[in-house]
Amino acid sequence: MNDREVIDRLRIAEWPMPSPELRNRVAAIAVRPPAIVWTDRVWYSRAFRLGAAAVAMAAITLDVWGAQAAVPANPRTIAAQVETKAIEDLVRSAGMPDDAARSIAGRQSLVSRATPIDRASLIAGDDQ
Amino acid sequence: MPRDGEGRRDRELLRELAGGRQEALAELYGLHALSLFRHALALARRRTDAEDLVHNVFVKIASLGPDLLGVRAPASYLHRMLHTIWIDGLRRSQAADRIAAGTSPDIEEAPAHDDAMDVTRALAALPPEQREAVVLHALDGFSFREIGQQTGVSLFTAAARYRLALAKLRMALAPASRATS
Repeated sequence: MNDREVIDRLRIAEWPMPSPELRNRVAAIAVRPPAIVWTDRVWYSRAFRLGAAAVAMAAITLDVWGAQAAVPANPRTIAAQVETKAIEDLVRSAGMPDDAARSIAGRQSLVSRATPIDRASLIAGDDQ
Repeated sequence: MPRDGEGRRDRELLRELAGGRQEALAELYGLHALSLFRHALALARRRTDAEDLVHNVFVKIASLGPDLLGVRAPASYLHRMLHTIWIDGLRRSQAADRIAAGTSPDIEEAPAHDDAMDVTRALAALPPEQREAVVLHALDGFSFREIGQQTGVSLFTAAARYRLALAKLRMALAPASRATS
């Protein structure tokens, strides 16, 4: 006798059936009333999970693109503003009026940011 | 034997059950009663104990509510639950002693003919975990991986139990086979 024959004999054997009383007992079991909150429905929904994955992917993609497209702040501009403000304060503390202090500070800032050629012409213009 | 279509219907029924539809429980019972009862009988051997086991599975299922929504393989889930309830019962009531005593096991009842009587008697003589492996694999078509998940052992252990059981059945049935031929 081989395995196949044993299995065949197991399959043709007449197994006891569950009694009708068992069916009645099971049918009489009270099913727990629905207490499914919307978060359960959402969490177990395939659409929600796929949607969440898509949103995450979109956010990552946008973040990468945004990082590439963003113009970095120019540290030279910031430094120039600080410098202008410091000169303006210094000139004002020396007793000059506000508009004169602003003008001198602006001019000084323009000179410091200009290329060497521009600076030469500005200084020359200043002398004239 | 579990099929894809049945699995889909099972999942629908579990969803309906989670939604509180009473009729879903009876329908689920109709789909799985025979398989679960055979499994229960393989473990408990006595009809009354087996019926209690199956009943307790459905009591548990009826009380789970939204947790049922996460079940992916309902047939396996039901059998795993049955196995767990049986183990819990054993621990609680020390029924292992009674099973070891082997008083009038119903697994042998009402055979159709001599061959069937031989095979069911031979099966009844096996340890419960080997009977369980035979019933779940040979009769209900579960894979060893699924049986391992249901019974809390590795697939290798499940396969070994099945092989050992089949070898014992072959030996037990061989003389009867020679006598009848």
